[in-house]
Amino acid sequence: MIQVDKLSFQYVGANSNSLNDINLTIKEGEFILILGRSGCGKSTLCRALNGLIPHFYGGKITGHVIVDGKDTRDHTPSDYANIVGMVFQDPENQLVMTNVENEMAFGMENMCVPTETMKERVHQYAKYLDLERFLTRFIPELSGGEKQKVAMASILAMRPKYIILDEPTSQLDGDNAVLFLEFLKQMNRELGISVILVEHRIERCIDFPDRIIIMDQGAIVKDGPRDEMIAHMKGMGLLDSPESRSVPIPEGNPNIIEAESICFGYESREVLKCLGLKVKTGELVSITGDNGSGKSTLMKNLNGLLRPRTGEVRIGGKSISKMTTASIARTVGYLGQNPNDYLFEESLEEELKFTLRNLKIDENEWDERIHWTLDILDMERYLKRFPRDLSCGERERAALASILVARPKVLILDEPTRGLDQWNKAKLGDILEKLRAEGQTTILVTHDYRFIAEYSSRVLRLKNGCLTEIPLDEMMAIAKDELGMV
Amino acid sequence: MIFPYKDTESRIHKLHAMPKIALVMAMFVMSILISDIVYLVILFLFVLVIAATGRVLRSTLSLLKYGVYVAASIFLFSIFLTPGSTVIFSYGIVTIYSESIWFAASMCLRLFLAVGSFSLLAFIVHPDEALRTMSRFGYKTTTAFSLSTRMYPTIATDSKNIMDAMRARGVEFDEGGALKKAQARSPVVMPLLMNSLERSVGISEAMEARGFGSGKRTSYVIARITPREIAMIVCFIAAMVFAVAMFVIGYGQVDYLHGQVIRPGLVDFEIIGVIILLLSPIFLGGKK
Repeated sequence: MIQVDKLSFQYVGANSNSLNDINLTIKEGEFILILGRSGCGKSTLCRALNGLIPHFYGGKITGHVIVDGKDTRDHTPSDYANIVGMVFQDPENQLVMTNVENEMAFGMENMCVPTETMKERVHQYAKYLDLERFLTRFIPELSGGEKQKVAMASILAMRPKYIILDEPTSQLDGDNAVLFLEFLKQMNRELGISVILVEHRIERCIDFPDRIIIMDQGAIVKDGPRDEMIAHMKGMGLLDSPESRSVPIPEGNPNIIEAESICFGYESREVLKCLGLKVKTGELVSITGDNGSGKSTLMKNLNGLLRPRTGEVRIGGKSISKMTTASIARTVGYLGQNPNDYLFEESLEEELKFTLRNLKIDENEWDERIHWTLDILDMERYLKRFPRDLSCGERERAALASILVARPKVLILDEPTRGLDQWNKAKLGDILEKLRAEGQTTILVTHDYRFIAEYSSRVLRLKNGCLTEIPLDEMMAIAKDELGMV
Repeated sequence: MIFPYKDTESRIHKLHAMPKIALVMAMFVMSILISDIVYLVILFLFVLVIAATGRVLRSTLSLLKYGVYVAASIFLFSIFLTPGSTVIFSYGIVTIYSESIWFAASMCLRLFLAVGSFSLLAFIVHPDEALRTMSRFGYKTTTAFSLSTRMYPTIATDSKNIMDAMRARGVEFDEGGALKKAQARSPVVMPLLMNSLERSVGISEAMEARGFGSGKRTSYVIARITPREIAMIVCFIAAMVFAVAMFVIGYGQVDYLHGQVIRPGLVDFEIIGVIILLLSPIFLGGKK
């Protein structure tokens, strides 16, 4: 049993507590889902359950966390390594070795498990997670979903009694996420392992837990059995049915971007096969598809980061084949999956000026552009802030600002809702709506069916290198079906 | 594949990681101590022969290609800023002395020897094996070193993504001359550094949560070290100890800046012969 007693915690250098007077009991065999806005203390609480807080992070702690009779203040995280396993959000940041079986053995090696036992467990859990064929594979070559499975298998092989998962499905597409969550449930049921799951994608995981905890501002605001909590969450608007906000695009609008018969591949693998795409001015087109289907590759072909082997991309009727990506950037803004790749200046203002300087925008326009951008993104108060100090959702918007300040005619967003909570997603959706009202064309790639169904004017699915249209009502049905698990 | 280790199945690859690490350490110590160009040239050629035997010569040479830029700047700084007495060229305020040239050549060779030795470590020792071996001794420093090899593909991907992000913000990486291209690349460094720092905090947190550093460990792969490999380690350590002893006596060091010139005697060739002889068992390789 894990007993949290009047736990409060403040990070080093922080002005306020990240956890406030938490009282919680977790019994063996429970499946708990923890929900709440970004920055509400979910991850901090998870790190307090295996002693990473306070031993790894330092900071000020009051109250106690007792795990199977051991107080985390008196024991280091390694004392809990085979009691509480932790799977982090980004598998890239937790995989230590380069090959799958070595990675699965790493934790056991630290626990001094005998070699023969390690071999048995590696094969047992590889079989359990369908990783047998990957055992000798080189980890950097695996997909995000496969890496997350390896991270999971590595923790399972240590046979912990409790497993904490901090947004484990954020990089998985819908089908893989459901498979992963079903596996968690199966593991919970068959092996009796307690699961403590932190997730933003409520619709994906609502069917699995026995108990739901809602946190806000470092405190637990509601804790109860799933059925009871669902009623409460509906009251909070967390489980609202999606509603389309799509606005029809006037027929006469010209095509702003056209891809004609483009083919692209990596070495021997053909990713885009004579693909065609036309997007009208003012459209908000969403592109969906499985992990590895080539969505990001397609986006990079549209802004010149990648060049099609055959075929042509035209923007405003003009071919981009002879233009550099930097010169295309004036017309096509591209925001990749990781906002951190965009943020390095000491203030948000400097970040925006960096883009304006590179694009040789007249300095007389800078102030007006910066204020327009920050106003539309509701970021004006962060003008002088170091962008890397912002929360996850705010970082996403700061990175978007660094692109939007160029006022590109077409905005390409690759997985913009990744890692965002419900509230930040709604905020992003509102921003995209505002931009569309100003005539902005947006193409976005996402696995988030609800987001697509609510905000898109057109939805396309990329499969086998080709695009097919999904009617909006069908998309809405898919999104509702996902929610229909409730 | 973006990864330095080359799985070539050569006889050097088949060796246990320990003798390979011992060899690289011995070479590195020598690159720090020795300044005599004759010694350095012979040792550097020896490294290239090992690389060729391990079928990683091409990779080693391409890594050394980057060292050429650093060596060029060392060379320029050394010849213009170090004093001497034998003028070989003079024009206006620029005077080049032969002492400076010898000194600069010695410094560059040391750099090549050190880079060449470490490239062997990266190309012929599997990172997982290196981590397992190194974590037995002073695990914090050695593990950090070993992990840096493991993180290489991630950092390379990060760097590519950041360059894509910069291009999307109007940075022209391929415009203008070498200086302009280098300037354009400078903004990539900061986000790369910040991402790497955040990642390293993440990975150390994950390692701690999995019990790393709690003390004794077992090993999943039992790579038993053979008596022959132990003998090799003894030879490599002996080569290092011998080189240090000779250095203390005064061999292998030439003070080029104070007018000493290369006059290798028979003893020097005997010393370098002994060092090479003690390092040569590496070519016997392993049988794994």
